[in-house]
Amino acid sequence: MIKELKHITKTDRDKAVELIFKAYSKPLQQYAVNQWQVEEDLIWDIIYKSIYKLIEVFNDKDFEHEAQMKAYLFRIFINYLKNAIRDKNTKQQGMIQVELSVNEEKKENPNESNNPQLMQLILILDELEDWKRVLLLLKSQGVSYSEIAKLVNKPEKNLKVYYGRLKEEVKQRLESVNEKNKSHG
Amino acid sequence: MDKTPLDDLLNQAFLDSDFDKTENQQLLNTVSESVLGEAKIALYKPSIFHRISGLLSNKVIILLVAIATITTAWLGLIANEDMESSLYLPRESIYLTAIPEEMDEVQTLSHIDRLDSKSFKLLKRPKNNFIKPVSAELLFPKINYEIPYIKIDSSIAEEEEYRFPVLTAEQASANQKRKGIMLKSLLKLEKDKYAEINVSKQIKNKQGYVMQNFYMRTSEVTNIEYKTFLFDILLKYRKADFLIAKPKQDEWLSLGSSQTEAMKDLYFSHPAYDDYPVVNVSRAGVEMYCQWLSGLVAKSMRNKKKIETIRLPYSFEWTYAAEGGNEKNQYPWGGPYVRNSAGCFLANYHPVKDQANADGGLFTVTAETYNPNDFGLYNMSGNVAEMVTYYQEDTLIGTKGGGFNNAAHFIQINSPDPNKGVKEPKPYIGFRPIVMCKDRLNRLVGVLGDNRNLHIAHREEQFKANEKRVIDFWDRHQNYALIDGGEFQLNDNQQYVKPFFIQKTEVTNANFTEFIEFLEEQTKTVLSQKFAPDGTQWGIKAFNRHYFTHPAYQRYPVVNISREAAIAYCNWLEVIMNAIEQGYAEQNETKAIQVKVSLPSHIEWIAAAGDMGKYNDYPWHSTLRNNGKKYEGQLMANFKYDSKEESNELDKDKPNVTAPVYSYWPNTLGIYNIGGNAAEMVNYEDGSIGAKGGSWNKPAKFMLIHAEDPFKGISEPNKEIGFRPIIRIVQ
Repeated sequence: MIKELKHITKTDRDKAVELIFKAYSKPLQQYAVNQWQVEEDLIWDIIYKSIYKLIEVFNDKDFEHEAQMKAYLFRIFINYLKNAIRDKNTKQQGMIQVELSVNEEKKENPNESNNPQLMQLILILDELEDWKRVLLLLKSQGVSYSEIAKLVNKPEKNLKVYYGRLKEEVKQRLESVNEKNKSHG
Repeated sequence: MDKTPLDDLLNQAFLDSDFDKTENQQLLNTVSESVLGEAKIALYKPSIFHRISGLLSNKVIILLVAIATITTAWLGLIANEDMESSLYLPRESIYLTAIPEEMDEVQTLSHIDRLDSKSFKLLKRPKNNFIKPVSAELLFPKINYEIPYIKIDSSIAEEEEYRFPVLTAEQASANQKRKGIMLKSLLKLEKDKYAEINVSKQIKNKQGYVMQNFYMRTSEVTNIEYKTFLFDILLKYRKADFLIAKPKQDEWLSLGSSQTEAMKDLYFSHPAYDDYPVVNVSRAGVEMYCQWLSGLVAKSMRNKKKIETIRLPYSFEWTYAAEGGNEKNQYPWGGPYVRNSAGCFLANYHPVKDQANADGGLFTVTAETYNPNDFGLYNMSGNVAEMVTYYQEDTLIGTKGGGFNNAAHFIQINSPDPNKGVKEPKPYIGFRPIVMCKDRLNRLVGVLGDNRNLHIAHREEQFKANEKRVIDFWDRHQNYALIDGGEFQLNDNQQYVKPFFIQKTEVTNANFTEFIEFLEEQTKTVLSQKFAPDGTQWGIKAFNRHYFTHPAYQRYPVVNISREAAIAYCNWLEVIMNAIEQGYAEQNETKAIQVKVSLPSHIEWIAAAGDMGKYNDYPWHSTLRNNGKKYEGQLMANFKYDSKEESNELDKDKPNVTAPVYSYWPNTLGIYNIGGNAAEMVNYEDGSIGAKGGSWNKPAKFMLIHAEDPFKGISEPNKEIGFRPIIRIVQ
C-alpha cells in the first residue's frame, strides 16, 4: 500500500492529495472541532497544510505500516494547531505566519506559555507517577478506557474511579498553589 | 458534559508535551489510533466501465468533431464534383465553346495556360454569380462588436509619447448614451445601483464625528463605467488628466502568475470584462472620477434628491454598511465561516494554498456575484479591496474588505488592513463611492430639545415614534395647545421657533391657590406670603378681600402677582408635571417625558397669538364684533371702551373687570383670551420684560398682535397683568 502511495506522490501529486484528503480529513476535522472549538476555515487550512507537508516528506521517511504514517500526519497536524491557537490567543495579528518544519520546533521549549496555571499543571503532572499522567492526558483527548488499559497495567474497571480521584487531587493541588501565590504576592 | 477549566488545561498540557520523548510517543500513537484508526486510504483500480465512462467524457467530443469535419468535407466534395475548377473559375465557365479533346477529364490551371488564346473563344463569366468562390471570409466571418474595441497601449514606455486612442463618431455617441444612463440612475438613486443606509442611532466615533445617512453603490465600480469617464475626458481634450486617471495594466505582471499577460492586454479593453471591477487605478484617478460625477450632478437640473457630494467612504461608514445593521457580524453575511453548509464559497478570496480558483474566481469576478448582505451590497469582502479614508489618523489612505489574493482572515470586516498607506495602483484594489444628500431633518427635532447641532437625520419610524409620544402627552394634558415650530416673518426678519405647548387659558385663581397651599404645607416658610397676590392694588374693597379667595372667582385669571411669583409657579409646575410623567411611564413601561416650563418669549407669544405669522391683526383674525349670524354684534374680547364708541344693547353683560378664562371665542389654535382680559407676561429678546395682549382696562388697539407694550419694564404686581406658561419637551 505504501509503495503504491509513494509511486503516486512522485507522478501525480494531486491525486495523492485527493486520496489522503478523502481518507483522513473528516476525522481530523471532527477531532479539532470537538476538542478545540476552532473555526472551520482555520481547520481546513491546517489540514491542507499538513497533507502537503506529509507528501513533501513522504519519500524521505520509510513508513512500514499505515499506522506509522497516520501517527506522523497527526503529529504534523497537532503542531500546526498549536501554533494557530497560540497566534489566536496572543492576538498578534500583524505578524506573518512562518511555517516551521517538524524538526525546527524542537528548539522551542514547549513548556513556555503565557498561562501560569498551565505551568503549574505541567509541574504537577511531572511529579505524578507515569500511569496517572498517561490516564489524565489520554482521557482529556477522548480516548476510551479499553485503549488506555492496554498501555497502563491496570484493570479496565478501576480506571474510571482512578480518573475521578486523580482529577480531584490535581484540582486541590492547583488551588493550594494559587492560595500560596496570592498570600505571597 | 460541560468542560471544566481543568479539562481545558489538561487539553492544553497534552498539546504542549514534547513528543520526541519515548514516553510521549506512545501517547501520540494511541491518540492517533483513536482518531484516525478506522480511516483507510482506498486505492482502487478503475473497472472497465469506469474507464469507458471516463473516455466518453473527454475523447468522444474530439472524435465527434473529427467525424463532423470529415463528413462535411466529404459531402462538400460530393456536392461539387468539379470542385477544383470552381475554385478558380465559376462553374458555368465549363460551357466553353471550344474544349480541346485532350483535356476532358482533368481541368487545372496548367491546362488553361497551355491553351492558346485561339482555342477558347470565350471565357464567359456568368451574369448571376450566385455560386461564389469559397473564401476565407465566409468560413471565418469577422465579429462586429457594438461596443468599441479599443486597445489602450500599456506596453509603451513612459519616455515615449503616449498614443492616445482615437474615437470614431459612433463610439463617441455610444459613450454619451452610456453617460446619460449612468447619470439618470444616479439622480434617481435607483435601488438596483444605490443602497440606502440609514443610521439607526447616534453613532459617534472616537474623534467626535457623527455619522450621517448616505447612499452606497451596491457593487464596485466596473470597467465600463470607468471607461465612459475616461472617454468623456478624452473628448474634452483633457489629456493630462487622462494620463493620470488611466489604469496601469502593467501591475498585473507583479502578481507572479502565468495568466497575467493576457489580463494585462485584455482586462480593461475587452468587452467581456465590462462588468468586472476596475483595478490598477491610482487614488488621484479615483478622486477625479468622483469629481466628474458630482460635476455632472451639479449641472443637471433634475437633482431632486438634493445630492451634494460623491466621495470615497470613511472606514467607519464602510464597516457600518458591511455589517448590515448588526454590530457582531464578522463577515457581511454573518459568519463565522466563509463557506455555507453545502460547501459553497461565499466570497472571492484566496482559500487554499496554490489553489486560488477553488472558490470560482482566479482573479476578480463580476461585480455582482455571490449573495448581497442585508443592505443589498455585493462583494463587500473579497473580490477587490475597496479604498477608504481613515478619519484623522496617521495614514489616511487604506483599503477595506480584502481582495482576491488575501486569505480568509483579511476579508473579515474588522480585520487589519493589508494595504494601508498604498497609493499606487494595484491589481487587487478597486473602489466603491458613496453619495451624500442634504439632510431631511428638523421636523420634530425641536420638540425633543436642542438637537439642531447634530447631523443626524431621523428615520421615519423614529419620527413617528416621537410623534406618538408627543401626541400621548398632549392627550393627557388637554388644556394645552401644540404649536408646531418653524420659520415665519416678523418685521421683515425671518424668525425661527421651536415647537412648544402653550396653556389654552391664563392661569386662574384656582391654579394659583394650589401653588400657594403647596408652599404652605411643604415648605412652611414665608414664601407663601411673599408670592400671594397683592390684594391692595384693586382699589375696590370687595375685590381686595374676595377676588383671590372667593369661590365665585376661582375661574378668573390671577392678577396682582409679581414676576417672581409667576416664575416660581412655573418651576413648581415643572416639578409636578415631571413627576406625573414619570409615574405614567413606570406604569406603562415607556420612556418618561421630561418637560421644561417657563414664561413665553415675545416671539413665542406672537407665534401663538397669530398662528405662526398668518395673522397680523387681532388674534381672532376678524373685527372687534362678531360677524356670524348667531352671535352677531357681540364683542370678541374683554377690553375697555373708548369714550367715543357707542355702546350696544348686547354689551350690557360686559364685565367690569376680568372675565372668566374660558369666555369669548378662541383663536384658530384654541387659545382663549390671548387678546384682552389679562395682559400676559413675556420676555423680550433684549432681556427686558413686559406684558402683551392688552387688558380689560386698555383700549382695543393694545390687543393687536404687533401693538406697543404699555406694561414694559413692570415687574411689580398690577391688576391688569396675569400670565400664561409654556411647556417644552426636553426628552
